[in-house]
Amino acid sequence: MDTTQVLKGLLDTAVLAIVAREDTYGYDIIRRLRAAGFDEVGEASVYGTLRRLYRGGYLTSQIVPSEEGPPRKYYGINAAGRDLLERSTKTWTHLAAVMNDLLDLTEEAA
Amino acid sequence: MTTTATPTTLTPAAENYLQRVRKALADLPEDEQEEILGDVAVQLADLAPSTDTDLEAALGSPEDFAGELREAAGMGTRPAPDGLWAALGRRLDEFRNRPAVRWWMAQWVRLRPYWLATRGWLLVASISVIYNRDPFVRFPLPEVLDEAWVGGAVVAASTWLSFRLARSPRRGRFVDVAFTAATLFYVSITLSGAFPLTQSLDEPHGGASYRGLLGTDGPITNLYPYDLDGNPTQVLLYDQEGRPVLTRPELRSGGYEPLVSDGKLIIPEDGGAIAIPLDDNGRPIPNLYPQEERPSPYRGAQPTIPTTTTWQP
Repeated sequence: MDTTQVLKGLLDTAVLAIVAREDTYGYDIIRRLRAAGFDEVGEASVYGTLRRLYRGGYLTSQIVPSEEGPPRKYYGINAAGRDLLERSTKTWTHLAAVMNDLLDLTEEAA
Repeated sequence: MTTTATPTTLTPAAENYLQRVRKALADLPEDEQEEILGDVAVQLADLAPSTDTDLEAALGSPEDFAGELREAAGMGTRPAPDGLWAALGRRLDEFRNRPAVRWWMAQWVRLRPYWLATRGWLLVASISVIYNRDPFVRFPLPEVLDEAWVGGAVVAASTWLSFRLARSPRRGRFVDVAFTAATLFYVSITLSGAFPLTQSLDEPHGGASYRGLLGTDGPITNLYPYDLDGNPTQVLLYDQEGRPVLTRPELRSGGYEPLVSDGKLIIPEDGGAIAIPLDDNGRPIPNLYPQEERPSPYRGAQPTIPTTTTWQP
């Protein structure tokens, strides 16, 4: 199964979920996604997703100085973003339940 | 609210990668480009703290990176431009993406800081060669205005400028290219030896290292003195430090077995021989002692005229 294609469909929700916990910057989001198990997530996909969510009005951003290097652009979630995350979470929960049921049925039949 | 965060501490490899991503996003509005590149630049700064990091291995080619970013951002693919330049650009991108070319490019990126430092020195050194007769007396610092410390200061400034220009944004690229072109121009002139500005009494024929006496038509290999009545005569010639002037090359190179007779060095010449007085140690007695004189910079081929003359009988 091509996890890359599945991940693309889930990336918006995953990014929103990370930013909903606390404001953070692009590279840190990539690290958190990989630490969570999305090993194959591409940097460019995350940056593109952030730009799309920002332009769509779901994220805010601000420049924050960093002691470790150059200033970083921190993304935060706003009300529209939280609303989108809530709807996405419901959709995912529903789909996951349906998939789990289907897979359980398949295992029982086998 | 947002503003662009562009780090100023990118390595040359990261800067090169970022410029190629910028090129692949060139059709987007400029503010959109800056927003995206600001994010990417921060990651490149984190990812490539040293020049050894292979960014293409970590992130893919800049063109692929930009394509993936466009797709995720919902910006569509880059429209394929028409025309000869666009076709050449596509061919160039294909060429750059070949594994062998990418390997060589990685080596070049690694060596680029050394080239930038060398470029700063080369420009000053080669100009110094052209305008000075012997600028490498105090190698590696070329002399500028006849002073090595001035040369060192100019080399430091030139090297700083070389690095500064290499980091210049797209609009400043032509200055960087002009710097390289000027360096290569002066180096090629120096290597070819065709620098007329260095023409001097010693080197009137394009930088040949001839050190003998020179006339208007070339080297002088012998001198024939005559008295005022037009009769050949014999004289002893000495240079500015009292050393005998010898017109036989083998005498200078030591290939001649000296003949000493009656306390004098006998030197065979055309039509006879000349005798040079020797001191108790067998050395030619100078008849003109060193004077306060230093080599001329040879600008305009004007030798320094001695200010004092002391004759020794």
